[in-house]
Amino acid sequence: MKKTLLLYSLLLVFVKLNAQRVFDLSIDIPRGFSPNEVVIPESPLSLQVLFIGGVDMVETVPTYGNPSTSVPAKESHDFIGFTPDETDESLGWVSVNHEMIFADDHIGDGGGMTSFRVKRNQDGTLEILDQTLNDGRTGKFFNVDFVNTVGETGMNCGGINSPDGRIWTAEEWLRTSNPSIYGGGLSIRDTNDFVINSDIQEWNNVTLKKYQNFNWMVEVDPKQAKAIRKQYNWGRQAFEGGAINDNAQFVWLGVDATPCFFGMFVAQVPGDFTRGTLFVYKHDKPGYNWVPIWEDGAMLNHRDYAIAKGATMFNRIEWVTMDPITTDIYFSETGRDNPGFLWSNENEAGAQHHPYHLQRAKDLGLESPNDFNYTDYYGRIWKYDVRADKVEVYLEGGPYYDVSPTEGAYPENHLSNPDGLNTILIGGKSFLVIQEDLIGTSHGRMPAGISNRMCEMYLLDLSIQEPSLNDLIRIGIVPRGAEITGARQTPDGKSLLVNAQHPSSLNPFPYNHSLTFAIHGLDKLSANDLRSEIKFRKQNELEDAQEFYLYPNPATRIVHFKNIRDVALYNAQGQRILVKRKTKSLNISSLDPGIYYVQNEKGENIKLVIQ
Amino acid sequence: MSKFFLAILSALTIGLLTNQSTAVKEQEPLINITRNYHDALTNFELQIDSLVAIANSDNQDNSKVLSIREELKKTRLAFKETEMLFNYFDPYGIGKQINGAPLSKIEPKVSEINVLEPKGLQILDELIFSEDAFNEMDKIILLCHSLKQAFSQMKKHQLTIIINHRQVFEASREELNRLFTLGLTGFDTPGSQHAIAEAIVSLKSVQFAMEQYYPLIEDKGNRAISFNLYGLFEIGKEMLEKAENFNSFDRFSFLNKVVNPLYQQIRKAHLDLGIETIDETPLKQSAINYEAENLFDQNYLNPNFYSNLNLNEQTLAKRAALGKLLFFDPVLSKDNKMSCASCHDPARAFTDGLEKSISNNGEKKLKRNAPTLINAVYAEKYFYDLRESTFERQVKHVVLDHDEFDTDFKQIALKLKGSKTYTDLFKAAFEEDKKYELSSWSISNAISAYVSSLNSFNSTFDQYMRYEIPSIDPAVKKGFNLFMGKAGCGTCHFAPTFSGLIPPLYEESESEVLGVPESLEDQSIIDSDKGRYSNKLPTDVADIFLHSFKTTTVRNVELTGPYMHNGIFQNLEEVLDFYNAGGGAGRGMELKNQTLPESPLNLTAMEQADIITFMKSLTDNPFKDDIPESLPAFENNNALNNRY
Repeated sequence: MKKTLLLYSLLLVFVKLNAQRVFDLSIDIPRGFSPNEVVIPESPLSLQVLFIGGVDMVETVPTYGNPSTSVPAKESHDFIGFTPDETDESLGWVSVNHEMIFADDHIGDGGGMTSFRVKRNQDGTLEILDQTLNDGRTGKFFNVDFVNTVGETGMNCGGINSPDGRIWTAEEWLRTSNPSIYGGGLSIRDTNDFVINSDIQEWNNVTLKKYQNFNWMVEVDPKQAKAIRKQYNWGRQAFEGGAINDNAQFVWLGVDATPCFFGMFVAQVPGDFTRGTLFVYKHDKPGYNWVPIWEDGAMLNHRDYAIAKGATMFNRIEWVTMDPITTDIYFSETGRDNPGFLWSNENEAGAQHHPYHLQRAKDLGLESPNDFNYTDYYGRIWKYDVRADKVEVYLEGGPYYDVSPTEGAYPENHLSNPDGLNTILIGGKSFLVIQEDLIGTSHGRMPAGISNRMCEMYLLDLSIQEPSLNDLIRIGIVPRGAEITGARQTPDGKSLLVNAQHPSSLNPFPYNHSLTFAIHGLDKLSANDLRSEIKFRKQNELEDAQEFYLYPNPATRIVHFKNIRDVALYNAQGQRILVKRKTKSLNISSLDPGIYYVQNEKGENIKLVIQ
Repeated sequence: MSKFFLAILSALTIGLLTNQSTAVKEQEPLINITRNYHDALTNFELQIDSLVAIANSDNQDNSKVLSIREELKKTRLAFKETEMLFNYFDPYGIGKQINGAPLSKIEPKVSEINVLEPKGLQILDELIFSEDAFNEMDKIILLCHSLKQAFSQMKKHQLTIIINHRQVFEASREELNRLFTLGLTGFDTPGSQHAIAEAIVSLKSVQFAMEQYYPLIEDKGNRAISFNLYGLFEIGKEMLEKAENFNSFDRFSFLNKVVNPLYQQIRKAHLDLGIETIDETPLKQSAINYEAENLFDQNYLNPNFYSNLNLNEQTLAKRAALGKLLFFDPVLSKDNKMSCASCHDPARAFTDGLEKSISNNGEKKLKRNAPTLINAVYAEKYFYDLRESTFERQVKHVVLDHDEFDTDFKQIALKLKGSKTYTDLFKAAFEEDKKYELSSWSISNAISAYVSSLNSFNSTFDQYMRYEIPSIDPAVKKGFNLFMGKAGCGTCHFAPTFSGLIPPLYEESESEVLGVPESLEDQSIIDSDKGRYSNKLPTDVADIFLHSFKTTTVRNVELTGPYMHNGIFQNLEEVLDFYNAGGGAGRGMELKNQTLPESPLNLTAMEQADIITFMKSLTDNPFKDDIPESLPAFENNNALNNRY
């Protein structure tokens, strides 16, 4: 009796464990099998390093009494802007944010930005051009001058790239006093009052405390490498990102804080952002779902006014982007582990929770998102449907707890803390580029047993109405371990410019630095290829595919299996070099060209030829 | 037809049976371990419920404190049964919600400063076993509820994890490290000091996991491994069970006779079974070399994980050799007088013997004491104030500082170009990156390659722990036991680096507020240096970091006096005196955020002397005479050739 019971229970768990094989240390290749052969052609994508922080030299203007010179650029690259060249002398100007705070005699204190001009070469690579600017600076990389134009900036995170190539940098660094920006003389050394010189009428000649001159959206001119204006009329907020519509009249604004509010600025005259009306989103407002913020003093205390007007609260909005085809707006809400304490007072003071968060709280068995125990580990992507005038969740992060992934399944179907967000066109179809920035590794954000952060970059086909995590296409070619941000497509559609923000030892120089690099060959991808990969994956969820079959995607450098497998990878000599368990895919981007064998838990083999 | 069908069927069945019977045997350990883990999780959940029930009870007198103490002990033991796998699978979730250190932290990755108060079993242990427990009851109740809510969420996730063999072996070795470095030191139980009983539970959980593999090990014909494992677990349990109390437990022998041998044997079993190791998996990059057989192996930690250099041996050697020349070359400074070695003298384990180092013009004291560079690479963040998180960028701080090199990389590169030897060496060392051959990066990279090579775990103590020498001074043993036990040193100076690098993952560096005085005359006045608070990182401008400094290593401490960030203590006796009194607050300093307990340690003079003897057994400076014979010549600038 006991024995039967034991056997029975063994079988039960056995099914769940799905037979894990201890793979042989080496296999004898010639004997006994004639495996299927899968040939993976060379990737159409290639990488090119453009700009390395802390190493490449930038040209500066006279600053703080120091002469014009060249010094190593600042680091921590984040947002990338691209301003197309209307002449055919070049492709255009690239501008890169530096998300940091550092006192620098030449570049200027605080954060910063670097710009450079690129040309497309015959061989498909980009060339950084020598330039002489109007202020006499000559070189390749230029420090965008804030100090002598609009005042220092801090923590330049995300930004806005309008469809016509205008660039704004977002100052995320929310400060509340002069001592808090002074940082013992190492952050912002000049804390004198700041007198504004601006083309925004009501702000010209206004005097601010120095700390109040931080946390604005700031327009820059990447061609002349200098700032144009701080958008005092968009409110003082912990800005992270934004998007501008085609005729340059609507601006949507993302703010990284808990709580934060989804903002909109509408210019009176297209293209002129010195005059217009600022709004915040309020989901339960009859008519237009927006309320104007306009009172005297409201721009300096935007948050208080938004709360008083009952605006809708979000949990750390990051980047905002527009689908060029539908003109709908998408933004990432990166999430925060325990937001309860952080928005409960604001809720009591009038600000509203979005029904989505209210429902989430209920699903967690809590009364409200204000609860001390309310958690939001993974974040999500929201969509603002411009025509319906409604903000709704487009793709929820995760998956959550009881369907959380195992180590092997992790990378292809888990979305944690989306941050950078942009749209790109492949074969005339728009795709969302989602870049993670993990705020923690607990609760399944990294596979069990893996503690170091790894941030993924995904593509998502925007023609999908109700996407699931299975619609995400992971880009395997990105250097492992590098936190990727910035993603900006060049106007000729051929390249994606990205930043590796944090150094990681998983990669050789220079990918272990803050740097800007290009992924070339986007024009060689087809939207259909990318979609067929998803189709393949979805098909196999339905059928119980027993056969060992492999679907290679040469573009993303990932091979997919029909169902969840334990696999071992052997080299041409038959030595075991890699084991991955409970997986549906294998990233082959770091493998040298050659012959490999993939064996599954049943001992079946496939020969893999990587060209 | 039917015969044929039957034949096929039976062939299939037999085939299936034989396949399955080997497969089932290979699965059996995982089935049992998974079931046991799930039971332990359920048991922990029930135990949390009982804890919450007692916390909720209306009882208003002191008996509630007594009963909640008993219940917390049980809850902690129930947690310990899950810990090996639970902590392995979700270390940072546990750190935040279940069993993290009772210290406030700053929320990462947000633009404002948000202080996260500690939650979970450790802070509960501290509060419930404090004299003030009765008055803290509201806070205790809130924390118990939070524990329940957090665990109910985390449990769901844990139940879905499909455990594999590799993870069991890694988790087992990790738990051995944890039970020694965090458990038996009392780190885990700041209030109750219930460490020994908890260690028994931890050790048994490792034993259970390994026992499941004995049949497979025997099948491989390696009975010796299972016997060794069996024997070592038995010895370990006996040593713990016979321990009289927290202070008297012989940690030295336990490490030497149980922890390290088990650490070695478990890996042996792992490899012998042909199970893949972490190095064969695509995702993880670990600070620990899985190959290491001993917590005190020379290669226990992987310098690359910290240095970010990631170079093959040949390139590393070339760059380190070049970096060594640069390190000793005053040409790097503006007036060609100061080199890295001016403050980091190899004869003194790369310190200078001064309270605070002297500026480039010889007239000014720099802000802080020069720390040793030996094993400096093993840290999450660098400098006393933890202001730099990238190993390679440390050089920049020295180059730009007006009181140190007072120059910039452009000037240095210009000067170095005037030496054929240097340009050739740069060319050879950076041949793959021609564009940046002589740049801020290559200069920093070469110096970093050299500094990252200044590693050594080869002191008398290390050698004894690796069974390379037959005996050691009994005072070392006594001193180690005090260091890791009664004196509490090991709860901040973690083994094996004996610095603030936190086991068992070794991914984070701690800083501590000690209340180091400004002068010896009046030790109630704190040194004016604000430490981490003033390191210019926006996220560190928080009161919890006021006067907080990096926990430096005690390795080579014999050579690196005077001590503390301001060099206030001239000898180790003064240092021990300071800690024995409970740091600054213990000596009457007004200091709210001291992280060192302010109660005296009650160490006798003999005990203090033993601790010092132990620390001196960590002296290990193989680099003391390893200096360049000459520095490269400058062809076109003769003045530079007289620079040393």
